[in-house]
Amino acid sequence: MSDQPPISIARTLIAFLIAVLFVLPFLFLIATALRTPADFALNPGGLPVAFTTANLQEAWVAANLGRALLVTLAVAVIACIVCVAVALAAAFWFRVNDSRFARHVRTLMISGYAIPAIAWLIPVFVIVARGGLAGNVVVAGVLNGVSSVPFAIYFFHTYFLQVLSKDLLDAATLDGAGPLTCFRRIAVPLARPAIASVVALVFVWSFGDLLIAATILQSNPDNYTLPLAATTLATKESVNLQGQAAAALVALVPVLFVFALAQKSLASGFGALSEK
Amino acid sequence: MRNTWLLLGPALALELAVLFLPLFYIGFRSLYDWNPAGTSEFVGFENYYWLFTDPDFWEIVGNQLFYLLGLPLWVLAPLAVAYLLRESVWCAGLLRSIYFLPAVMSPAIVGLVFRSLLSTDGSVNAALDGMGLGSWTQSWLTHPDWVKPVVILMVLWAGFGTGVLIFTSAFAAVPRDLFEAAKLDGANFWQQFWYVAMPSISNTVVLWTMYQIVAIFLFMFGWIYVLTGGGPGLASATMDFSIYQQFIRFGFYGTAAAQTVVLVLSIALVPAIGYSIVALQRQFTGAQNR
Repeated sequence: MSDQPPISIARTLIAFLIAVLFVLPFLFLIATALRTPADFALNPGGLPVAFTTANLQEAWVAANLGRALLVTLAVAVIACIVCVAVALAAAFWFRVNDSRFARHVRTLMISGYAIPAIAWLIPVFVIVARGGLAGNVVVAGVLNGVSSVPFAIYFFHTYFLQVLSKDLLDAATLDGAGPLTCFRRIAVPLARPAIASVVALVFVWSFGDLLIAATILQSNPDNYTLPLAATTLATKESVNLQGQAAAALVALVPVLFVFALAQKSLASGFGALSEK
Repeated sequence: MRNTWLLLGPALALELAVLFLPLFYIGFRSLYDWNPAGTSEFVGFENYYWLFTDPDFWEIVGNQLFYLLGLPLWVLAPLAVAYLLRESVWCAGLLRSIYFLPAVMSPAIVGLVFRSLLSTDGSVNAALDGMGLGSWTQSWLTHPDWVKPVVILMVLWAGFGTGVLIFTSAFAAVPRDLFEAAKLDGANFWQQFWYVAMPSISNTVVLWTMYQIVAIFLFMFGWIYVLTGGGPGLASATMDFSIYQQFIRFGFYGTAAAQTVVLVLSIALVPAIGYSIVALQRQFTGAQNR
């Protein structure tokens, strides 16, 4: 565009200096994970000179990170499926029904977002443990999914308000389509970009969750997620800084992939906050 | 429409069963000397009495209030930078992505990274030493005076990119003519910021502020658990961390339940505060217009 103001060097410089604060910790993490302990001890604040992959291999074995990666993926995928399936249907219901009663129910269901996880998690854990399901991956996945349902309903409902007009729904109903057909044939296809955003968000949230994992899965080391395995490893006295960094690095790589693939969807998901 | 309960039913049932009904259960259990594995004895409000006379509880409440001191920083820093990036910055989109990176990462994992960076023999202190600033080195995470400010800066680091993103999309909705007109009237950069940009996105600012307040009560567990373990002593513990510790580690089930009730009730106050601010603002601007 011709009316773009010229680039300001001072402003660009400030912005890049801030960016350094966000890049440095990750560079440090990679460097620590890949350098030899002796090299680190010699110069912990400086640049690495001696590299090794031994740290990664040790952490991989000690914390059973291969299995933890699979468990975490399972938890995140279950969470995404549960959350999107029930929230999308509910949001569509709220788009079709906007009676006073329906609006109150909607407010209630969205306000579930502000309930601290620890408050519902403890009684749920007591009941789950009584049912012999403590340490169960599916339970952890479902709980992660439900904890994001309030946000997802809000997000999908806002989206439906924009793309799904009453006229469109009326026309479909006149053509003989029932509500379930409308949902399947019209709402779901229209909501694809919104679904992408919610899937991306729920994936990164449940992939990074520590609280639900540390409560529900604590009793079963076979089913530790990556954050739980990495933090458990890190609290052991015998593990050095390089091992911890290696575990953290393994836990971050899948999320970086998601970030690279779905950056736009993630950004529009978080951007939803500004439109409330 | 008929038989549409199939659409609402699953979400409603799951939310009630997982998020809402457990709150009533924990409220009920807070009146008992709760023993999840055996029989529990009714004790009335004794758990609350113990909680409110426990100095540890008040230290944790004090921590939560101290963390709220970070609020101006968490709101103004992303706001100012989003404004800065609005125009005249090279690669603004790339920079926003970089700031946004922490938002997708596990607080537990990022906590691990900062724990090793900030440990007494860690890289930050070593780098300070190397630059001849040895007197600036600190035991960042184990000194009771330093740990809370460090946590506030961690929260800033983690939430900054999301804030920038949200304020950027709010600024994008402000008509450009407003800024042009202010420029023609001779307003400088900061005057444009305070008198044009801020008022036009005040709703987003209020919303982000409320989100940050709620986040301080809701999402601190991963950070505290990994970064400081609540320590030194209880100097950095938050409510959710302390409830987890009491329940899972120490087995003080009754007081953990009572503390949960207190936490839920205090969060219920936050939207009330937000609404009254918005209402006051409306009254104020209404009075001005008259």
